[in-house]
Amino acid sequence: MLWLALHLPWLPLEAVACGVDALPRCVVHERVVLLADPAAQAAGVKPGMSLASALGLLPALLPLQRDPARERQLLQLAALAASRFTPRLVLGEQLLQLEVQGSLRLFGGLPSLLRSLRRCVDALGLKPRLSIAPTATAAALFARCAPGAATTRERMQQRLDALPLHDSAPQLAELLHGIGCRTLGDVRALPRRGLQRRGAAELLALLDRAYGDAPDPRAWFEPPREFQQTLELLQRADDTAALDGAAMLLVQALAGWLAQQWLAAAAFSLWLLHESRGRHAEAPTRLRIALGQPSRDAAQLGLVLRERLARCALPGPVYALQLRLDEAVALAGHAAALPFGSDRSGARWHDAGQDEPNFLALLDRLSARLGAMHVQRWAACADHRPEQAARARAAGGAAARAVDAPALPRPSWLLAEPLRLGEHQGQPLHGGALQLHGGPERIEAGWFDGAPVCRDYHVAVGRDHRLRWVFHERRGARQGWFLHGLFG
Amino acid sequence: MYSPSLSGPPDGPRVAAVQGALGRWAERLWSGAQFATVSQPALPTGYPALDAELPGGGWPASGLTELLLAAPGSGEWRLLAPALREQAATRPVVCIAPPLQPYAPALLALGLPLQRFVWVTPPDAADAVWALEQALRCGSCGVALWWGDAAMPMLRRLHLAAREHGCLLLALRPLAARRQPSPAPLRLACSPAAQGRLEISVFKRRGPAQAMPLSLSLPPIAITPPGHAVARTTPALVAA
Repeated sequence: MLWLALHLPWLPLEAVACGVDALPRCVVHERVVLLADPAAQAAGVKPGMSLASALGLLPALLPLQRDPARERQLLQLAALAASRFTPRLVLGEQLLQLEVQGSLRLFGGLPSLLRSLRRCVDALGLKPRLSIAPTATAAALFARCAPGAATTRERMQQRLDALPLHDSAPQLAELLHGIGCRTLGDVRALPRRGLQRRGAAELLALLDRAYGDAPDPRAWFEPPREFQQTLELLQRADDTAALDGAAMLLVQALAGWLAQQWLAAAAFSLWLLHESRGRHAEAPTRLRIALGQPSRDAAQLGLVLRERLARCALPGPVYALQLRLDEAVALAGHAAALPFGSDRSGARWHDAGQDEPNFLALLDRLSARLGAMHVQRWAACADHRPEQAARARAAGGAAARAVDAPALPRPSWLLAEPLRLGEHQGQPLHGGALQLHGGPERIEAGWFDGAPVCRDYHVAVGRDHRLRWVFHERRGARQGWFLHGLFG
Repeated sequence: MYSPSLSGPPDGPRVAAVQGALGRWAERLWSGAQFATVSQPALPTGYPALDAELPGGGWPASGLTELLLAAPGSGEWRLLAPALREQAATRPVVCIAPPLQPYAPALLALGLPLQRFVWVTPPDAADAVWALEQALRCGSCGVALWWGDAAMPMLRRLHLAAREHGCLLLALRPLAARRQPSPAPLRLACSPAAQGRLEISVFKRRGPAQAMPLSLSLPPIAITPPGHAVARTTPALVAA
């Protein structure tokens, strides 16, 4: 077993502090300072101090009330995000532990796994202290007292022996100091029986678990069956830019959850919960995002969500966000793409295998910002009427059935609405007289669905030598010449 | 060393003689009639006469290339179709801000695989440039067609993005843009001429200035045979 422990010493502050603040801050619980940020510590504010003395030292200090529920929630989101690395997670007091022995090969070794984990935790805005050890208890002790890696049992024992007592076992530290014990190694050298009789049984059990001499069963973190996470904002948000941080936090958790379940999101929704104005509760706004290429990549999901958020106008201030997964498809892991390197000439390697997913991701991004109506593919349809012979559909959707190209002349640009042309002696005019070539091609159809056309089409050349597609309307109120397309 | 034989109009035998005299330096010497050496592969245009006018013998495979047209419908699709057909077979094509509705049956008749074409119609020019840059930077588009305009710094940025990601960016701009400076290494102005020909003036290229515009014969469009419509009662106006 190989345990990775993330101790989050700043969690109480991270849970209640919003953004970068110029003021020194501290977290207060029952009018006693629990945690002070580096700026406050530099002015002499220490944990355990009463709030009054802290404010006396530093009048500009910003005291923040501790919020244990929010700390738990943040830890839970971090656990969800980290569950992409291993299904075996344990939550503790400001502590997240991962058993990663089985994941090393998948993530390309410990250093590469650690890099990915750091990136993931950075994206959550947490500053952890990381340690690695073969037992869970030892990893937790190291993370709290002396962060670092000890991957072998011998190295772990050496490092445990050297751990100072007052950090690792503060309750008994004074008593043991009195008999000359400074480190855990010193305690271990003492006779076991005597220690047990003198009330240090708990410390001994801890040591046994840490050194791997006693079993250490843990309750694994159970991810929820369905993904639906709500996060309250620390400040109400009046524009979408203020939602970004919280939304990305939820996206990280979603990506981790999807990876753990071997799923990829096909559609998800971000619900913006609005503050009620007076008596009227404002209905929540729903931003639904459907992905052409199901994905569980946090960067890709975040990018699409960000584009969609930027396009949305808030009907009112937002106090909370909720992220729900609407549709998911099973997705096994796929081989990681070859890294894009640069060769000597500076040109990039072109990785053809990466084209398709990249392109689908591009379509998702464009549709999220511009709207699906503005990102289309055109296809021909079997219909004689020119307006009905081509149809656009959303680019991410299924491909249309192929239709053979017509043998008759068709213009590459079609006017959405035929343009009425002037006439001179029965001949159409468009920037000068038009000369008709060939034809006419008579199109008479549509009597069956209420959009009948009855036209004679010609190819016409104008004075500027451009080729046009013109028709003569034969029936109805709008008889005359019309321009319908241009030959590109 | 000043050599009078090089200052006159370049002609084959004299240049060859001078090059022979220069020996191993000849290949380092650039004469005014040569195209610059192109480091990147070129996409044949499908028209040998046009290939001969372009450095590398075709459209540059990456970077910005400008095509100036008086108006849509000047023969641009027939000009670009062979190269687009070739490129779309392997990599997708993105068309950004087309001036009119593209008409699928006609493009299919040109042999373009439309299922590999994506048409983006952004609401304004700023969004169009954004969409174009996204398409270039995604690295999987082979060709980006763009009907639009941007300021010089933006054009340079798009050119660099296209170069870096190996995408041919074809900007179709109005003829008036000819007077504006542009970072594009290759700029052409096209205007339709009589008998279905296209006059192409390559007014900027890495090589000697073009002596006279090229008159290219485009493949003719199918003309409806007379008597196609069974018009027993010929409409009076057509008959007139």
